[in-house]
Amino acid sequence: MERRYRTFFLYVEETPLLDMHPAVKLLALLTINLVAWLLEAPIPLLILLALLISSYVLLRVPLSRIRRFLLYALLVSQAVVVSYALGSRIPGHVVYAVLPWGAYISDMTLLYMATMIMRFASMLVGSTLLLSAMRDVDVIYGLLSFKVPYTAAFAFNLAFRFSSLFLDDYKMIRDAMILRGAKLDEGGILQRARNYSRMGIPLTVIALRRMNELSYVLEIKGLGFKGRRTHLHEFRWSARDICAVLLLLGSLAAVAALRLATDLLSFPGWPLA
Amino acid sequence: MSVVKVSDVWWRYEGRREYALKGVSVEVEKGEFLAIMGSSGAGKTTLVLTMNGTVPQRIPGEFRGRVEVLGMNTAEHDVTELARRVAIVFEDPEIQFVMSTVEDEVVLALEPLGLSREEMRERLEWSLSLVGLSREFLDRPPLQLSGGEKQRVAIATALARQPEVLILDEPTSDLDPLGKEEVIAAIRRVRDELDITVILVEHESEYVADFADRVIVLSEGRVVMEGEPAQIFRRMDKLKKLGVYPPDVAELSTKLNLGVTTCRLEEALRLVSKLVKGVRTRALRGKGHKPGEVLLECSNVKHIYPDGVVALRGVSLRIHAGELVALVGPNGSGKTTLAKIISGLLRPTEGEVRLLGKPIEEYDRLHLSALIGYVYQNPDHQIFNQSVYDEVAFGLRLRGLPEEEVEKRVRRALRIFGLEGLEEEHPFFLSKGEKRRLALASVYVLDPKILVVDEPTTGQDMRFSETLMQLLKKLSEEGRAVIVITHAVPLASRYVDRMIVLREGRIIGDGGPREILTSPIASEGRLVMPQILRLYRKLGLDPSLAPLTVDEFLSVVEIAL
Repeated sequence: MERRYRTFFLYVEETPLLDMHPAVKLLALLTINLVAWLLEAPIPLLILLALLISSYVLLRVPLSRIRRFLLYALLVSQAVVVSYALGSRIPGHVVYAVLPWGAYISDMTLLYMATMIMRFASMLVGSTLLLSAMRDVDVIYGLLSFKVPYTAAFAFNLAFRFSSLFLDDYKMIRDAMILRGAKLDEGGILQRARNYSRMGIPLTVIALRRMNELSYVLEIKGLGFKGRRTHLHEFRWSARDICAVLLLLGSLAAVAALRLATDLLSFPGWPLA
Repeated sequence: MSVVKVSDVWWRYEGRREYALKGVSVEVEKGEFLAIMGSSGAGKTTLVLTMNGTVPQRIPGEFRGRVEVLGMNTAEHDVTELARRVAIVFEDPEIQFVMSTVEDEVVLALEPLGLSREEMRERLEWSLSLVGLSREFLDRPPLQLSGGEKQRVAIATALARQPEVLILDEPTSDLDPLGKEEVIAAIRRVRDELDITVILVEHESEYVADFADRVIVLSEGRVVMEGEPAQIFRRMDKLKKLGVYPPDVAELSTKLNLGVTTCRLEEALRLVSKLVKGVRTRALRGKGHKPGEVLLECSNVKHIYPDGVVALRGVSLRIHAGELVALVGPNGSGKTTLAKIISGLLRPTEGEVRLLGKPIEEYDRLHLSALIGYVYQNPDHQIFNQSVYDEVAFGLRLRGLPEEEVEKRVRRALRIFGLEGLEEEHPFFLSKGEKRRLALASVYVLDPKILVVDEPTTGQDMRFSETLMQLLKKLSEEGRAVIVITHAVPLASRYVDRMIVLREGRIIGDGGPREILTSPIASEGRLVMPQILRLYRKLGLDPSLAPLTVDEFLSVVEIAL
């Protein structure tokens, strides 16, 4: 019996987010990520993160949805720590170490690392919250609401479908190599890269074949059809959706204005002399 | 009136020397049920792809001749336009799904038709009910359905557009017996309830005999036989040479010289029951299988996946040297999980696996891979080197063997698996059958004591499947234990020494194929019996005997002619 994680749409059926217009969900996804990107000060980022986590409770989305991404979050955090520790020159009040190539680690380096990790965490937590209430039709209809052509909207949705197939193939090829005695995770970084590079050939060949097959299937289903296309689902704008749009656009505009016009949302003392 | 007219079609894929279709001419009448048969690589799928315009419009190559479907030249009419009237269902249901619910999947095909919401909903429900799926399926993710349900959704999606021609390209070949039954029932309903032209590409002659008005047999891109099923299946020797095996009852009626060739079980029962005099009770008492030393032992193995799915619920078994074992059971019964545990890829949540008396986790990966080989169902997942030679040599080089020794062993493996002369070829340019043999050779070369082979005959024609089973038998006779995970019970029963039946993570039967197939375990494990055994049982003869082939039937049953 195989586990089946075929989709990234970690769908939760109980949340009131489900009833929202797909365009609002897409806009919310975009806004949260943009706000997280605009914020640089640790306290506002901490507030955003807290707000997002409490939204899980409010919107009845289990927090456990994030668990699946913890490993990726950890890897990204590691990368942030290593790159800022080894390659940054952020002036601070205390310098803990100066590296032979001129980079140094100060108290502000540590604070900046924490800020970057919070920014990434906000994006992850916010995106997971919204994706938990989105299905593929939401992506398609949401993009169509923004006047994106049907084929482009569908192709965007297909990327999710394709990535899950790609992951399945990756796991299978990896297992097949291990079963023949390959020790993929042994040796230094270069050796590991060489070990894994062998997977490139079958992965590419299978991916190309799948893309080919998918393109035939989609054409047969009428994806390239140029005439009038009708839809089964009807998404009507409610007063709640309009309020949500106003709130989202308002928050985005406010954050952008504060970021550009004041230092309130900038990293403390940034740029440091 | 012909709805499909293929006239002298020649087609060569870009970069290939050989033509895939060589002057094929076929006509299909309105409302006809046509079956296309032939060995793997005979040109069956290519031929049906000419009928919806994919060949020559989307696949590069050289095309000659003319294909007209419903009066439209398929080389000129747009594929999307043709798709409104000609629907096609492919072998692999998974690749056909792009949406996250059954409802959206079916509706996707309806959106370009410009229908109103009400019409869409009506067609959605009509098509699903036609293939035996209730409204409850609407919200379910297609990728999480069983194999048979998936393929029925694919057929419903095709039918929802109310096409005039429905093409089914090996719709049952990837399915377990239950899935096959479900899809066959759906096809039966389509045939009985709709006035539609159906073209079915199929390897299994029993289904073809049940449905088809007419059969064409392709070989190397040419139509070599054409006629009604009974006419076709009468020419047994010629058919077998072409990789097509007639139904057991057709073979029986030919061997009995009944004057008529019967293709259906009920007909055969009517004819043969009048001629049966009795049984020769000693006929099938051959020497039993003597197991060798114990190579592997599983004790109360349980496995629970991280998402909570319980795959194995306490499996205990012993695998001996020199035996060919079939691991059978419905999808989701735990066969693949057990095979992965046996090969050390997964660790049991509870219980123990001992290999040559030592716990399996104590072996180093390199050493373990020399003791147990695992051959994947899809060879593309297993092949990653630049040449056939390097692919086979990969495992040996990992072990640091001297190049002379590597060469000696690679050459031997290539000879055994019929791959000589292909050493420098890139593996991805080999045929499906060659790739499968290469995958086997690359594992065999490590000289494993246990070989696990996952679904080796899926999607293959009978001639290839027989050759492969003979090869696996030979490997087991060399002293290896060979474990085959398979749904092809009728085929496997002729070769294996032992059948282990799994259901819902438990072993429900373990014994010789005759013993298993004559016990209630066969129906409990949803195993498909050979057609000849079903006939024998319907005749109500001695239940302790179980003929698995037509020749065995003739040696057991006394017939008055």
